[in-house]
Amino acid sequence: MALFDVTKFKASEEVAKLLGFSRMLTLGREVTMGQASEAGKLKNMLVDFDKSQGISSVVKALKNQDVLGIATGFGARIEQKVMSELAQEEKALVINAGTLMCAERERLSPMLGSAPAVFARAKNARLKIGIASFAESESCLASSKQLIYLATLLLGASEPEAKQMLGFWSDLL
Amino acid sequence: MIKARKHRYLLVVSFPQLDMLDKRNAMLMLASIRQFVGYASYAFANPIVIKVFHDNMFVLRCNRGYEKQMALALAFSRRIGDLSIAFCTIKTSGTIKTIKELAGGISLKS
Repeated sequence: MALFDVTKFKASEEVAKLLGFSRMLTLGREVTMGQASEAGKLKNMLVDFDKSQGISSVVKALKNQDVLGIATGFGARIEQKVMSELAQEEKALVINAGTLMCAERERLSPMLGSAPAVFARAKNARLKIGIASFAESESCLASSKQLIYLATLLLGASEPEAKQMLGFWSDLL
Repeated sequence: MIKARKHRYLLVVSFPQLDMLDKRNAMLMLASIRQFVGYASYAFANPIVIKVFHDNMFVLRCNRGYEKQMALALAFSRRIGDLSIAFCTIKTSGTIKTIKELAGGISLKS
C-alpha cells in the first residue's frame, strides 16, 4: 500500500523514500488548510477544526465539494454534529500527529488520555480517518513506521488500520 | 540454563545531521527516550547506540519486544541540547547484518 504524509514544507523525494512514504504532499500545493470561512476559495482544502470558530460554520464548510475533510489536533474533542456531517458527506478526519510529537511534556497526558476515545468514536461512525505529521521543518519529520506505531500504540488502531490511515490520501487526490 | 537475550536493531536517521560519535549527544538522546518511556521500561528495553554510519545514520539496539516503544520514543525526542532535531526510525531488524546492508545502500545528501 502506498503511504503518504503531509508536510508544511517541500520535502525531497529522496527523503520521502527514505522515511518509507510513496510521496510527501506539501501543504499549500497538493493540499491546503484553512478556516471554515475559506471553504470554496481553496482547492483540496482541509478545514482547520481547532482554529475555526463555530460548529455550524464547519458543518456548512463540509458541504463544499472542494473540502476534503477536517484536520484536528491529536486527541482534540469533536462534536457529534461534526462527526455525523463528516459521515454523511463522506469527508475525512485527519489527525495532526505533529501536535502531539512537538508538544510540551505537560500537554502530553491530556492528549494521550483522550485520543483513543476520539478514535473509537470516529471508527464507530465509519469515518475515513487519516494521520499526518504536518511537519513544519525537517526537524519535525517522522517516518512511516513511527506514524504506524503511534496509531497502533497510542490510538488503539490495528496495523492494517494504521496503514490505511496513512494511505487514504490516494483515494482523495 | 541462561538463555541469550534477543535484540532488535533500529536504523535511525536524524534531521538535521547530529554527530552521534560524540558521547554527549548519544547520552542526551537516550535521556530523552528515558523521559518518554520511564525508568522501568528503559531498564527493560536497555537501548544503546552501537554503530554510527556515514551522514546522519546510526543503529540503536534494544531488547526484543521494546522496538516499537523505542521507535515511538524517538519520535518524541525533539530536542538535543539547544538543537531541534527529528529522529526517524527507518528500519527495524533482528540482525545487524540486514541493517548494515540497508545503510550501505542509502546515501542521503544532507
